[in-house]
Amino acid sequence: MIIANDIAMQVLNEALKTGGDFAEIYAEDKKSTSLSMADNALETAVSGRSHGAGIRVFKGNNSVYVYTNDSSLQGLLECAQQAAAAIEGNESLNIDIVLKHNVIKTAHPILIPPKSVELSQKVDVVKRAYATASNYDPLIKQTSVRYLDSTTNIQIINSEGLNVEDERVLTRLAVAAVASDGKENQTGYEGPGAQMGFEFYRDKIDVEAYAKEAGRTAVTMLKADHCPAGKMAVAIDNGFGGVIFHEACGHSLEATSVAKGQSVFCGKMGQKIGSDVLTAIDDATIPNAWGSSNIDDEGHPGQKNVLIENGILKSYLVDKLNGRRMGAESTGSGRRQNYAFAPTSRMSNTYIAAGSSTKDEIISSIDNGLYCAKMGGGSVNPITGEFNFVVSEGYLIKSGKIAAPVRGASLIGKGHEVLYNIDMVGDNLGHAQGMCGSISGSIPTNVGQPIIRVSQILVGGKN
Amino acid sequence: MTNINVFIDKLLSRAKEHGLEECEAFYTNGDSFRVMVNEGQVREYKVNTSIGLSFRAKINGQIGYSFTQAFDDEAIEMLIEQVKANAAILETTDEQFIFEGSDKYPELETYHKKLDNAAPEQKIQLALTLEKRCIDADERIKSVAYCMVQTGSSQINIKNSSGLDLSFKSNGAVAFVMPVASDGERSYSGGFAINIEDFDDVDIDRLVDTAVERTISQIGGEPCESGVYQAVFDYESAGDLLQAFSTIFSAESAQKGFSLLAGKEGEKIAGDIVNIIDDPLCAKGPDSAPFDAEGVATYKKHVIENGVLKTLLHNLKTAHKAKTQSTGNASKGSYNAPVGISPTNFYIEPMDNTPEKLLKTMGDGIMITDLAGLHAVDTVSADFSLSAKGFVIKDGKKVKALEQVTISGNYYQFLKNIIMIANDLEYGKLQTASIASPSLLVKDVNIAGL
Repeated sequence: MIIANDIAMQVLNEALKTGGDFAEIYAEDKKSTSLSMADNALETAVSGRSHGAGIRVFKGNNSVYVYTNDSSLQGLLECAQQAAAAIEGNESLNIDIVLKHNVIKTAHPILIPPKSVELSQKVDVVKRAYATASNYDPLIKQTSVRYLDSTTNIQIINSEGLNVEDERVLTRLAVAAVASDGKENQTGYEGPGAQMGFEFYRDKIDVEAYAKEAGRTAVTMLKADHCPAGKMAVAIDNGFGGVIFHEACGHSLEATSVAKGQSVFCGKMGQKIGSDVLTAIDDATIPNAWGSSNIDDEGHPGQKNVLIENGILKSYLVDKLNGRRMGAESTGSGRRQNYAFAPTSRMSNTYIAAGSSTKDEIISSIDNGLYCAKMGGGSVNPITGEFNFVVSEGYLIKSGKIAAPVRGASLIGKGHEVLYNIDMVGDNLGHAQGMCGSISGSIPTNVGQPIIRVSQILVGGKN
Repeated sequence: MTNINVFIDKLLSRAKEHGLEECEAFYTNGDSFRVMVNEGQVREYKVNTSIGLSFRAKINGQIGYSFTQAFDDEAIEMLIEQVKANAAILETTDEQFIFEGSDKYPELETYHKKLDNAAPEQKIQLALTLEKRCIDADERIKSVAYCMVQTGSSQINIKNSSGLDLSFKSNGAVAFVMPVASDGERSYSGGFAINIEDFDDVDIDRLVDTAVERTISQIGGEPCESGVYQAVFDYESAGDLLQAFSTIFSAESAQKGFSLLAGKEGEKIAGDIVNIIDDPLCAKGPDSAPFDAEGVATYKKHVIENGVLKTLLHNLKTAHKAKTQSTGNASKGSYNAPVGISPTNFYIEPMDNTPEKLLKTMGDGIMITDLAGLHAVDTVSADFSLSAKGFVIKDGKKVKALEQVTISGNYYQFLKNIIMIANDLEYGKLQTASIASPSLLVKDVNIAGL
């Protein structure tokens, strides 16, 4: 327990004294460790504790957020006073607050908490990854490996009586290998992560396999030619390929944009917005997945939301405040980087559901196009639907066969148009981990999909 | 909350008792305010104060780090224990330093006292005015997706066992609007921000006019033919591109092989007319400071002079390794990050051509005003392929809005292809970001479109 009931009551009442109709305390205590290795040496080791609390007050559709590092009664009361002062009103609604104590049974059990693990064991993981990537090929001239773990304890208390605590443990390894011929550099990157403790390295991933993969991508891309430009058919493979849905559609379904009437998907509920083969899901309940959570950052249980079913729009991603503005229920999507951000609607683990085509069927259906084995980051403007993302490992497809590797490609388009162009969906669903940045900060999200065919999309490359 | 100065003194003296001869506390203390309005109402209002402290110590030549945002006796013991544990596993052979201080520090006054006088009501009123002005400016503007006013101040303090005791306070304010236009079929958005030094003297006209113009000028945009074009990058897109690739100038990146500029000092790496300057003392620069994150005094320098690479950006560690002096570019991404390297106010030096002269000189070509995807560029290869917007230019004039095209290339080559530089760089007036550029005329730009 970070904040005791009697303190919480005082603070909530203070926050509501000028006529707010809802108040919430979000308190957080996070312990983290990060290690990094490059140049054949373990270079940095940083660990510590971040700590703070934020107070949010609603009046109707408007919101005030105040935060501090000082979670003492005095610190919280000062925040509550500042928040109350910013509410336009002067009389308390005298809301009768009865605090419950909601107990969570975690759906994401942690077997080996990071704090129970010797630093030397964490170092060992880093060194194994480093050695494997560095030794992959003589063309690998530099490798950098980062290890991260964090344990975050949160408590959310609100004037509706919610009083809930949760612990989130995240573990991630990032390997970047640089291949160089002296004139040009290319990188390969792998960044597996999960909501797990140190058992991640025992039960879930093969460290060496990921490190080799980073090396292989770098060397392959160093030998690759420039990608040709133009509109063409594209096959995007599973895992991080799911960034296409995340950017092209996911962000535009967030209530952050929808509530203001500023998404290309506004007013489209129940309507067809994509091809028949497209079903897309946001699921915060996948056990131990990178973007999962027992509760969102407003205390609402994480849930599985079918966003698009056979091309029909079924759900937006909704947080509490934007839910008020839209007259919709929360979908458990209120998320934030930490106490320094007010929560808003965000994705969790988002993916295109598996279809029935095999990878061979999809590749062989393309006469002349691009096969994207790996995707990098991207971005979107939800207002116009314009998205872009990077192809980090691409190959030409010639006469239905994967041909020479190509580099320097990107894919761009408009979300509401590309959803109709996804005309084949494969059977090899896979997920990959990313950090998603938006107005409530940078949060862990999974992207995912099986291999898909996009019948036509603009490939940015060299003429 | 414990007084932070008392906490630091106690931390340093406890560290000494633990045998930590060389150690340092770095802390930031900041507050910020943000108001966001929509449809004539204050939708979001945010206030905060935050303090973060990072502690590091050099033990057997290795520097371990720890940090905290809780400031009790338990935190002191935790910081010391973790620094020891972290230092013990490190194995770098690079010499590192807890700095005793520079002989002299530059005088610098960038604190805008007038900003402290502005009450929240004045900032709210400004935001409401901005939204209304945008909507009234043109009937095609239907709403303002984001309309916000933000102010903040922060203080950085470094105190160490070698007697260093520095602090620096800065503040700033910015107003940002993103109007949304519609032509009945499609929506268009274009954002713009300005810096504010005094809430009694805000250039509302310039902010509204520019944002509205940047939005409605996109109406009817379509792709152009794929091809290799000459292009004028306006000051925003040219600055954004420099920002995205600025890590190639870091000595740390170069020494590790993440930048191809290793050992290229004295060589020609850009067009003759290109000068790139890092100026931490620039009066209106958003990133001005008299010392860097290691406490080294900062100064103005050419990174590229007449196309020749003069120096990379160094901190104490990379400078020692390269047998040179720190350029005062040590930085921390946040209070709890280890010391790295970054530019300060970093810009391509303006020349005396107007942006119109660049368009005229180009004649036919394209103008780029907006690039998307910059956060995902690979700075190691410096290859880029980015979604772009702008205009088709004929006879030096904008004839059509351009969208849904990509530009691709390599930033090292881009620097060599700069053939003309405009005069439109002015911190505090045009540029809000610390890494900036005037408009550039560039040859051999690969465009993919129709």
